[in-house]
Amino acid sequence: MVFNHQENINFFQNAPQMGLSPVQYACLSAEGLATVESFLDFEEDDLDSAARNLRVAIPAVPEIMNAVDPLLVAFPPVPPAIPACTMPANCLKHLNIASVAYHYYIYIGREPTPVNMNFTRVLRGFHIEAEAIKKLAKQTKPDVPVLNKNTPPNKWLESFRDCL
Amino acid sequence: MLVRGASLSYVIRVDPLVPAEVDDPLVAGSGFGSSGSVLEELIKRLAQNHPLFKSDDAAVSSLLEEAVRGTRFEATIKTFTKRKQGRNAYLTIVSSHAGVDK
Repeated sequence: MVFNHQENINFFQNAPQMGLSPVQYACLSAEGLATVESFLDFEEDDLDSAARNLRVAIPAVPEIMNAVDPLLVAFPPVPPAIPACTMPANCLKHLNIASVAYHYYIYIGREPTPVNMNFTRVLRGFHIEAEAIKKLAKQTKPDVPVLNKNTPPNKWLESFRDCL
Repeated sequence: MLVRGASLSYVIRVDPLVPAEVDDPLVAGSGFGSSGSVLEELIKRLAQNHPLFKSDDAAVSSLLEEAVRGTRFEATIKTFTKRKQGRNAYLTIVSSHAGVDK
């Protein structure tokens, strides 16, 4: 495991990183995002859903005693209660960027580490490039060049690569 | 998703293997290694054994099919375009018609 317990806390709670308060981090953990590795299951939509869920408190469920024998517990309690909290837009933005970066590292066969997931030093610059790539992907690609006598393969290859 | 929006160029890159992290470490303070940018990093390091590679390979195959339709080059890659193997079709054109000895 690349991120140890303390590094996970630092990642989620330090101000230059995700900047969550301990309560917000606890609530997010209850949603399933407790470690950096959990980003594997959290993309932009999932983070939005989690942020919405945080606004609703979940009360603890007290234990239910057996009706026949009051000393026996029929159903154990479900603690602890999860308080309601809000997720600041800035934190949500940082989490979204971290999620994109995490998936990027996995796809390119690199291990996400506390160094390459540092928001100030790496992710801020990464986000700028990632946004540019997304805009580029939305642009209309040039028509596929036709390979013919007037366009020999050597010249055609260059223009073909541009339309990919 | 960023990765799916990346260029299809990774399908036709020369080396299908992804370099080990030890041989191609990240540049300090950035999210890429020797490739020099996030986009180039995606082209250089996206795995070609990923489940989504097949659909990207097919997309390249369609583009190639469109490019050679009705030309003498069509027969060269027909075997691969029929199987939607864009990478193989591209490499065949390069080796048959645009190699160093051509």
